[in-house]
Amino acid sequence: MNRLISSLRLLVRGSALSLALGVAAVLCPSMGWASDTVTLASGETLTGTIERDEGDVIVIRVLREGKEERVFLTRQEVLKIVRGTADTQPSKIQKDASSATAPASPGSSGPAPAKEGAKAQGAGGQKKSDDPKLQALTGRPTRVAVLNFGGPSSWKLGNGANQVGEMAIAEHFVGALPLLKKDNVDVVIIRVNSPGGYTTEVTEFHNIFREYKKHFRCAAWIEWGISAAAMSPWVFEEIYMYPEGALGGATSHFNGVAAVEGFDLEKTLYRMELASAEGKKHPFIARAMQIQAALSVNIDENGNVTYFQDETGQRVINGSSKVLTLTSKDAYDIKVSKGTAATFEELMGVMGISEWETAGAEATKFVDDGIRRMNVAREEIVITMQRYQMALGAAAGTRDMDARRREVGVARSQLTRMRKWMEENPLLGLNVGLQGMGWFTEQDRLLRDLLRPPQN
Amino acid sequence: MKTMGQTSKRGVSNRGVGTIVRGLLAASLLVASAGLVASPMVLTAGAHAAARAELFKAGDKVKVTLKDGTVLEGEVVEHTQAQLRIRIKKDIGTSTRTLESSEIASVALSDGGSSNPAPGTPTAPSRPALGGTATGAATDRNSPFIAGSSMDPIGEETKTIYVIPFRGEFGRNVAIPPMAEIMADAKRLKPDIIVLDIDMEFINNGRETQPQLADPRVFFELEIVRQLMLLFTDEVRDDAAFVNRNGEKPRMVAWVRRALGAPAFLPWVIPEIYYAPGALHGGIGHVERISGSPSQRVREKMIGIMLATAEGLAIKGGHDPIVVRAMARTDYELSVDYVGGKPVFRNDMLGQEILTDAGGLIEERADTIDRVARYQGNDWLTLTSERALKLGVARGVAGAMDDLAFELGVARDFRVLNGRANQVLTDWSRELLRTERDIVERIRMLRQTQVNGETPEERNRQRGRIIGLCRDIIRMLDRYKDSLSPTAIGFDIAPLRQGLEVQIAEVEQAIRADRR
Repeated sequence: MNRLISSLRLLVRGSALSLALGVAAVLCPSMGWASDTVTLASGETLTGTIERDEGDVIVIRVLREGKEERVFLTRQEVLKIVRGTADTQPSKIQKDASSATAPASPGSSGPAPAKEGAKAQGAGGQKKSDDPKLQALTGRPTRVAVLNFGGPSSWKLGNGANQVGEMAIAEHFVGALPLLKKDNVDVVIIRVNSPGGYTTEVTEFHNIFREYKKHFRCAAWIEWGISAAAMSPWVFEEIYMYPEGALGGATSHFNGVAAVEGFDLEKTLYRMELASAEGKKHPFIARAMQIQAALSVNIDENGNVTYFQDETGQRVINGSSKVLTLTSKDAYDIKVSKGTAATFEELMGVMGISEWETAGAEATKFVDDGIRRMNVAREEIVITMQRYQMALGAAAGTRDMDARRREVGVARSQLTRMRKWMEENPLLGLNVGLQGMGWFTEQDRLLRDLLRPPQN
Repeated sequence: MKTMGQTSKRGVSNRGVGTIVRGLLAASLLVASAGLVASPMVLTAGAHAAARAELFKAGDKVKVTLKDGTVLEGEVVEHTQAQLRIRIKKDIGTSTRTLESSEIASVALSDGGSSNPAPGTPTAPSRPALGGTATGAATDRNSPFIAGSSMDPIGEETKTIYVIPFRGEFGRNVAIPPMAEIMADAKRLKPDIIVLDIDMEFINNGRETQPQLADPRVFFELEIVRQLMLLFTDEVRDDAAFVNRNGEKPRMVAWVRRALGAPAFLPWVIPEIYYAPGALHGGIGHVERISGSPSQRVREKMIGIMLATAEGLAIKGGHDPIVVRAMARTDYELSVDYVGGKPVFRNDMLGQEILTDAGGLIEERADTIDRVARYQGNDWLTLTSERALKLGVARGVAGAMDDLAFELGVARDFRVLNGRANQVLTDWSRELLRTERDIVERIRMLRQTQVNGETPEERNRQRGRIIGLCRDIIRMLDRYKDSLSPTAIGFDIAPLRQGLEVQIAEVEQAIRADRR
């Protein structure tokens, strides 16, 4: 399963993030290509489409090894910008892109990647469709799977559980994807109950959820979607809420002390603008969830909503000094949520699914087991690290080889536990000051060395 | 970097982060005060203890089979016509359980002697299968026995009411484990109506805190509230077997006498709320002070999250969340017009009645202490029974059970069921006190245990004892964690647990090192 997950990871993830370049793999719908050139102070040249050039931030979309990437740059890094010409037939290229295309090299006006939303074939060769009429004609009920983003409240995990990047991790959803496809699932409900967590995991979730959208009708069902847990499913067009649900409060900060500012904030705001476009939500909403920004609306007699990033609308949803968290009522009124549902049956009703059957049990279990494993890991990783360090210290502190072997054995078993957890979720290492797996390689060497007889 | 909508763990104290147990043991311990939790539940035999059964004496080891098939084994504490109290051994410590005669199918000595009464032997009075005892007479809410009890069977048309008392300290006395046990009892009795009888004030760590003032820290209890209230909402709804005698779902009713501080969140998920005369519901103001972060944006984030979560509870119960907002915020203007008797809220002060005047933001409007002390301030909203009725929060006002029954439309023929709710809560409180004492005692034993044998075997035996004591304490902490009092134990729970784990690791290492 780990190899499967690794190979899937290559398909859906972009290259590693760095603060300076801030690269994230994004599949961007409905955008043309230009031949803009950015020359960096380092001498490197990037060619692609400049999406943003204002203030201190420049964002250029490039193709690397056939994949679109967005490169975030500060003004100080850029020596020169030359605007090229836009592609003249972007729409035609996108239509043709439903079949596989050869990767384009950076700088060429190659075809855009496959348009999102292409649906896979269903069982028996029948084309699955969201259209309820076609479902009825094919005579089969809609197969619906529910995956938990954080353990539901009914698990009673207590305070502090379900954090994004700790217990709700994108890797589990990567692993669940083939299980869903194998079970011919039509609709995937992501049930969200999380107080938020690591911003970096949001990008991973956006990537995997984009992949989900290619194969299934997807919807988020919000029990508690706070901070990173609000941002993660934002790429979904369909959001539903529990009556007691809360969605928003997405300010990024460093352990509650300082809010993220400057370039890092701009990156986050921009990513959420893109996610808003994908999820067909007005960008003012996500912005008001991230910073202190007003949000007001006019709602006409037909229920159409006009949004304002100030308090001039007829109804003020969020004051200018506040950070927005939506209740189910407000979310529905301003069309962030398509409906409120307390039970799964109610959810099917508001989603317009009249005949359904639950599916994807293996995928559901896969994700749930992962949540429980990560719950154990987060509770025990600190003491496991302490046990490891004690055993390591004891091994290094004795010349008695029998005693040393015993301590190395204990150390190895603790190391194995932590390695397994971190292979599944590298972010867990932050609880014990670890970033990346390199530390384990070093510890393996240390332990091997300790088993060599001491030289007199 | 982390993006968090974080909630703090319960029991945060002003002491700093704990250290390992050895350091903690060196500090002076706070001994639990005997009166830490004044459980208002009074056990009284009342009219039912007219004659004592001679069947079993205190100290007898018995095996009790209940009518629902449960089998319990323990030691008799007291046996009367109406009740059997037995002490049952648990994994850690013991617990005392009180059983009504109506619940018991048979009692036998554990050595095989039978208690089944021979023909002609006087027996405890039989009771209706549902354990119903009360007619429509007035109720002493502190007694598990309902005055004016009747042994008549409950008629088909009689509406049965199961009362769950919410008393004491939220998170300690009102906690998930005892409430889950009570709801299991309610399910067994198949009531038509379940009443959450809420009479709770500001209590933290056994002490009254900031009476009449609002404590924004209560918002950190919201996660526990969310999980607790599932017992009374979703879990009843989703359990096909949780029905009344007619196969219908029971009505859930909240009856508010006092709901101040964290308990103020409890009634909102219940669609039908009634208030007692003189009721007070609130004490959750000043949400703006919930976070001490130096970043205003982070503070606003926390405020927004907590407000939306609290308002979500009201939405779940079908109530207008704007009332919760006014109870929580002191920077908020809210007034109300009454149109056709129905409240129409306004986000300004131009309505017929001003509910809140943003006194937390505008100094000249700030409440004076005499108004605050009398719950008459309007910097934040406190609901009284009159106001709750006018604002459409309360369906009615009822002082006694008869009045409540009238409001519920069942006054003609109702019976309050003699469930185990009071007893469960009493037993739970006793268990907590006993567990806290046990923990303190084990910590004392840890301090006193020396490792000084002459052989590795002797020393490792002593070390094994230390590990056993540490594990005992950890098990108790894990079982009761959110309900234990750090004040009673003398340590914050999480650091104590972590310190014990470290202690175990150190001792295990010493065992490995101490070999011939």
